[in-house]
Amino acid sequence: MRRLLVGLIVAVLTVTGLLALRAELMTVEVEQPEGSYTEVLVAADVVRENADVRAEMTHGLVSTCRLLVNADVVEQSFRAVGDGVFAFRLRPGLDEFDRRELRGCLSDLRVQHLRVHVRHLQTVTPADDDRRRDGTPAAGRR
Amino acid sequence: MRAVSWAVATLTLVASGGYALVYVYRWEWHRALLVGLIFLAALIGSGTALVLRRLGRLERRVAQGADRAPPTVLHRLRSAPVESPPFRWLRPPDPDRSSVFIPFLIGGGVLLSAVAWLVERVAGAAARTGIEEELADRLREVAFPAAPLVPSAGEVLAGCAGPEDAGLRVLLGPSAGTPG
Repeated sequence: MRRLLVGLIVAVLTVTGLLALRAELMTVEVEQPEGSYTEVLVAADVVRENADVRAEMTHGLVSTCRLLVNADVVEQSFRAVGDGVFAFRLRPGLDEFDRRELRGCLSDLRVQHLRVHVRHLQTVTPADDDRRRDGTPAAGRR
Repeated sequence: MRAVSWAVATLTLVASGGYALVYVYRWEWHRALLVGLIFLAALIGSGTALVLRRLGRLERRVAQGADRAPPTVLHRLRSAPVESPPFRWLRPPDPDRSSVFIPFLIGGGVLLSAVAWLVERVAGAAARTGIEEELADRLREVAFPAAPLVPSAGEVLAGCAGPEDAGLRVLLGPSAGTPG
């Protein structure tokens, strides 16, 4: 009886975990409004590397990861906004599943000796832009 | 020391397995691969250690058994009864007991079988003659006729051959010949 109960609990936990993984790893494409874009802000840190190459390494990582989500980095949008903090913009805007994938790719250890922490990742639609101009808070998707 | 090793192995297994799931959940494939390798290594190590521990335990048990076996066997052999009187059932202490019932039953069965076999043989030999005569009578009824059904060409030309049965002549037609 006890063994049966333990087996049942393990089975329930396994099924729940698998369903959660499935939900999180889905790659469904959700159409984004025309003119939408995704803003990304990352903090990069290098280990056993010269800090001068930090921007270059981060740019390389961004170039790699944007291939996964099939979006282009907007030209000249990649810029340093602080010490080791970089911002860039992707167009067209990413849906929820692509945002998850991009966040994972940027946080992953793809480039040796480079650790990136995603601080902000949001898709902005033209409607959000209008609201920003009007002064109302944007309802962008993070 | 051994307990610490097992604790470390278990902790490594649980932590690496959990982190592998978390990293997959976060789409961080490289990290997931790294901790997955650690998980696999810990799993193989723990499994091998478990198997080796079991084998060691078995080996010790077999060795202990081998040391202990000869005196036990010898003791049992010596403590066993030397010889039991043969055919004890033929010498019952009480003459009223029916201990010989089963041997008599078996012997009677053998004798009865012999008598039955003898009766079967005699009856078969006696009945065979009558059965053969009856069979010969039955076969005679279905035997082919002595004369051929259809006359030969010479007999047809001579016009003197043909079945005597009128119905058979109708059945065979002109080839049966014309009765003389």
